[in-house]
Amino acid sequence: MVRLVRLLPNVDYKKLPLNRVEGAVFLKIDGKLTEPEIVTATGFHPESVTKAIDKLVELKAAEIVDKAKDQLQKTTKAASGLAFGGNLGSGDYDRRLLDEPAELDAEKKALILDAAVRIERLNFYELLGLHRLVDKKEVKAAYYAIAPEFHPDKYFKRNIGAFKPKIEAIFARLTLAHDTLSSKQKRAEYDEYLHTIDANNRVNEQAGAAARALANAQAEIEKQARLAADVEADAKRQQDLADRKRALAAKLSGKLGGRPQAPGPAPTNQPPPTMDPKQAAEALRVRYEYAKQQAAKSQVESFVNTGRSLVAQGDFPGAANVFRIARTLMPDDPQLAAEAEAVARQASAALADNFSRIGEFELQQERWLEASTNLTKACNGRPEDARLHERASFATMKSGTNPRRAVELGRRAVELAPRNPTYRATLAYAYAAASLESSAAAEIARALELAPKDEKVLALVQQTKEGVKILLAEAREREKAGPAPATSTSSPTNFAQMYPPTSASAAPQAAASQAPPAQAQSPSMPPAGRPSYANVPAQHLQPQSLQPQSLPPQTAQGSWSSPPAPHPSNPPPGHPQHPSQQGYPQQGQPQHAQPQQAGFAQTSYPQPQPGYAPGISYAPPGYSQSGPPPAQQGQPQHPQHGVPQQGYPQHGLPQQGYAQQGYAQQGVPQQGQPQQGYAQQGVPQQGYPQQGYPQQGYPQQGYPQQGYPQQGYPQQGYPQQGYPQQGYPQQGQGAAPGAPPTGQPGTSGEHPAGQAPPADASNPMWPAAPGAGASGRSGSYSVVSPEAADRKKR
Amino acid sequence: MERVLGIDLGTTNTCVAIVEDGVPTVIPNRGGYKTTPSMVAITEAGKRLVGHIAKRQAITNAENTVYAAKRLIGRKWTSPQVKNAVSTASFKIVEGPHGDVRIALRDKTYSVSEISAMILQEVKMFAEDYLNEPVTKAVVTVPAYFNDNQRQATKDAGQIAGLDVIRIINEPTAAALAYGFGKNVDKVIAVFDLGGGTFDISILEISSGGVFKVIATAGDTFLGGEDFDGRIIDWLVEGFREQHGVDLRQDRMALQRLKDAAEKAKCELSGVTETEINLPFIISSGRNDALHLQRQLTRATLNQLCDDLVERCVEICRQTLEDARLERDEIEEVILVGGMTRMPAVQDSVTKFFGRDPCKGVHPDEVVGLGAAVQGAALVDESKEMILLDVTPHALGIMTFGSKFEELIPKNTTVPTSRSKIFTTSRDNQTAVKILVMQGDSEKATENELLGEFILTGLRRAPKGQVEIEVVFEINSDGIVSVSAKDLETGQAQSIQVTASSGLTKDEVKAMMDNAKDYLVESRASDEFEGTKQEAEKFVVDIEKMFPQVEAVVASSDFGREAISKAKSILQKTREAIDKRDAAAVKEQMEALSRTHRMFKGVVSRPH
Repeated sequence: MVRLVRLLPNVDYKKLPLNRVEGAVFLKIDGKLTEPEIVTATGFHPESVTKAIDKLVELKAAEIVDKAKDQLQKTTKAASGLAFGGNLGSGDYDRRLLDEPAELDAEKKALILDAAVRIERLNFYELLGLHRLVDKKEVKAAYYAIAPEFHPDKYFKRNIGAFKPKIEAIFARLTLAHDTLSSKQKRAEYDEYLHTIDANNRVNEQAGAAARALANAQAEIEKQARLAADVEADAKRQQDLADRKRALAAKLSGKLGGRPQAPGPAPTNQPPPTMDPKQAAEALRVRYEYAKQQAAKSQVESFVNTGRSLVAQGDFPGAANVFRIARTLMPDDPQLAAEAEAVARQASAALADNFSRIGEFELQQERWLEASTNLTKACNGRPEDARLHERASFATMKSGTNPRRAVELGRRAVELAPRNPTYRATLAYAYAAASLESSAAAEIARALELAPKDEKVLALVQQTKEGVKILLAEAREREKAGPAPATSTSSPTNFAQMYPPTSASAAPQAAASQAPPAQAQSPSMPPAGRPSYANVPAQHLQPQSLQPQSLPPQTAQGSWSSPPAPHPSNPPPGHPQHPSQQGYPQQGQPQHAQPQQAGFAQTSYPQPQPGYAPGISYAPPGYSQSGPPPAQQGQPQHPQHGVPQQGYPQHGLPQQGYAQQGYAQQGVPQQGQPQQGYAQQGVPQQGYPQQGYPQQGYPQQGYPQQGYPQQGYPQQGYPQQGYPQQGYPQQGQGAAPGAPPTGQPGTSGEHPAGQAPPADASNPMWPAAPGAGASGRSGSYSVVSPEAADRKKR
Repeated sequence: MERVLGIDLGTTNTCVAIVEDGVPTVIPNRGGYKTTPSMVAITEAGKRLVGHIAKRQAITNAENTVYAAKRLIGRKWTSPQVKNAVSTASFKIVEGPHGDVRIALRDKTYSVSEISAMILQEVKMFAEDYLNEPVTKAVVTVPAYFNDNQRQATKDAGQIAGLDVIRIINEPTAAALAYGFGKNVDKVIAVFDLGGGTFDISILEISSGGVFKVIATAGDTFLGGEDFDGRIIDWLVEGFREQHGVDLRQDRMALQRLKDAAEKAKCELSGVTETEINLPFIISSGRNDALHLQRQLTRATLNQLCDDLVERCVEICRQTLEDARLERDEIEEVILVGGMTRMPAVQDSVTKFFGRDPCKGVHPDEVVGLGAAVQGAALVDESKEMILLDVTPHALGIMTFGSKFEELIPKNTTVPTSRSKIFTTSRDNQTAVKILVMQGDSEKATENELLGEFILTGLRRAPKGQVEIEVVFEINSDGIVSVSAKDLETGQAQSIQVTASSGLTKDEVKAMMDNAKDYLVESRASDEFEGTKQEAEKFVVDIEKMFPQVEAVVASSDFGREAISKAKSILQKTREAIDKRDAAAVKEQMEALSRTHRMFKGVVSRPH
């Protein structure tokens, strides 16, 4: 036994009665050198070193370290260090379990209990206490440092009771972490998986940030507009004051000077006499509007720039978000709209890639439900991808949640690639799973026609046939109470005949229900002469996979996501808690309360196929799928919806938003709030802008400098076009499908340049009649009126 | 500290070791050999012989001498391997009551576990002699590729022999433990274990912290030295038939002699390039004269005969490397285990395949036993910083719809582990499912081993595919598989602990244990008797030798006459007691005998 020596604390070496040798040994003891090493280090005879150490121990100056115990402490320390997310033993576990009887000390119990809780929620890197960039060697080192501590063999002689399964579970998880992270391929897959989750989280954050940015932008616009309006109002007030002073002075001087003088012509330097208050208010409003547009423009510009740079970086979802905001601020700009659309398409393609990757991964992991959800989402991004549809169909069928959906997807795949026998076979299986036997049979026939020799197809077909056949055979068996027919139907037509159309296929089922269940299902009736495990297969379980061989060889890693995937007894498709949707904002998931959902009309409608991409929340308007019926457009507050106000108080609901913004809108009588000082009535707009405008620091030149005109942002259409009226409704109601701003009647199209006064045409830098077009028009349709929306759509 | 034996229960040889003062040591048997032949025989007198003595009499008692019982352990009567053994073995293999395999020796049939237990009992006995204290615990090794039934049968054998088998470990893993024990290295090693009956390859990672992690393992439980011998026998038999038109296989004794000669020739050819096989009077031609077998066998011919066997090993190595996701150059050390690895052709193939010379530092016959002892010591001594992370050699799963095997725990999964999967019903209104727990690597369930089964009832009546059942598989560190099934909707659950069946029921094992114990008592008693008898006989012979002389000297006196008649009666009584095999009676006479002997000696030595 090699001794390891350590000095005891608080020893005054001066008081120790040591000779030279002992003193030298004493000086060498550092808690790391073992006895032979001290011999080497001092050069003394081993015996004298031994004696010296013995003496030091006797003098209570040093102690022999129990190496095993020391090691144990070290590993425990490692285990309680970075691994398991650090600070192991202090976590949130049931303290009562500490009282479970086991031959373990309390500290150890705490470690085990805490670790058992933590393995459920930490990712593999956190579990091993590793940075994501560590190499294989470090993974190993970490695993080898921690794992033995949680191996049951460490406690072989002890009775550790209920702690044993816990230790085993911890160990198994650590091992899975190690095995995954030290295999290149598995780690890449896992990283991809983590990365996707991260990306989703990030996108969610981004979406949240975008919503905030939008709110900020609008607030900023408001502020600037108000500021501008205030400046003018102030100026006006000053002038009024001056006027009044002057009037008073005149009055006074008149009084003083006897008969008042007839008012002379106004001094040349004096401003024109006070305007009609209504007119003034309108002028102010217009000025405000203008300022607001200007502010919006600069905001939009910055968003567009950000968006472009994001596109350049390849971050399409991010760019799509930014563009969406820009479009919300400036909905009528066709070019902006076009650009936003393009980015949105790219984003959706990118997302489809993402979803299909996740889906494929989950498919490999045999997490059918998740795979089904994600692949279906991917299908939405790539409606022309036959293979994707086939995979999605396959996954959906395997998930067993929605056979009809599987059939639909399968049909689409076949539609896209009618000559692919595998797709047909998959469809056939989907049919079979949906109990559409005759369709299945027909599809099988077609598949076989296309590929009479393809082994994979044959295997699939065989599976489908067997599946259906066994049912039939069993039904017969029960009818005749005889042995199961073992004949196989080799020709597809034959098979089709065996399978009556669905209407008639009730027969076997009826037979099934007639048979006394106990007997029918009695597993204790193995046909004589066969090994007991080879008896009627239908008595056994069926993996949710109906045709596993068409899959790549499974790696069956258990589930990455913490506990085994929840399988609610009757999992509603798109179940909110489903792990596959981690990070995707969910309908009805209050904790997510993704504000941007407000921007999506479709999220607010019950999906005909729930679980099918309801919440791609970071998609720009118009990105996602099917549109809700127009009649519903006017109902932003659909009961299922995660109430838009939560996220978007300022514009989720047009009525509110406008009210807050402090000006009334024409055509919305209930909001017409004259007391705020903005009259709706026709304002002699023509005269206005030219007047007050330039002095107030909105130089005309500023606009062209920003580069918009060159880019073809037609001056006449840009700011004034019903921004308030139309922009918000689009937000509030989401991407009213089929109603992209560009193509909408009633938006820019209805405000042709020609409507602006001719003066405008001569001044291309300047938007003519800012208020006119908008206010004039807005009366003609109400944004909140469903009819109007209807009409718009038409 | 409690002692734990490490036992390498091999197909042809068994080796037992123990950790003494931290050093693993092989315990030699009574003959001083470090390994004991795994052979059991029953003599004509009904006496049980184990080890070298069994081997020595194998030729003359071929029908009642069992060799390579390991190739049959835990197998089903219907398995092809058993069929093969039935046709080639010189002893009689019969079907047991549970579809298992039994061996008929003389007028009794024995289960294979019992035969193995006899070997274990023997090694246990001499280990106890060596240690001078009773030992009850052991770690026993099995080929890595053994399935659970074979492991259980081995465990049963230990139990029958009165040993508490605290762990069954894989042979290549054990070899790695012995290799890496106390070395403090970080290495990836391959263990190539070609023994008498089985071939295993394991790839392990050894870390300096004392962690031994198996990365992948594979093998063939019917590929070993016996097969190499078989090739030589075939070659001899074939040649003999061409020469003499006689089939030597018909004669069990000839077959046993051929087997012996083949093995000897094979071993010799590891050292020399040519050897002569000479078996005179191998068989009678039936015309009153005997035929002799005499042939030259060269190493080249042997290599040619066994070419495909070696190739099979290499192929398995290739597959295992693939399973481990390693390149050949990532293997830092190759360890050869098992007597067959002495064969130059095998060594060459290994060197060629791995691109490096195998490690010379381990003894191929002893390393497995030593490793088992190391593991035993590590288990009972917590201060030992060694932990072994082994894997499941076969996939575990259940049988599903269409007799398909649905894998839950893939092969090469580190244990302990647990995995779950969701299944669903395959028929409408199905209210019960039968969970068939299977082990194996085939996609077809029927080709895999059935480990156990149970039924989950009370399912909700629903169309097929709607009821979800979660099946959880768990393997704990003792290798025990637990399976549970749960209806996710109702929470209804069922589970079993899969106790692999060795083909023996609990009662049978118990009865066999008692038999073995009785035998032990009997054999101890008989050993004692034999010892006393020898001593007594020695006295008797001596006394009888001196008798005439003594008679001549003392006959003259009455005292002398009396003494002579007394001596005569003592001799008589002793002879009777010996004839009756009455140990107590013989013992009773011992003192008198010794006294008489002393007296006679005194008389004879006195000068006259």
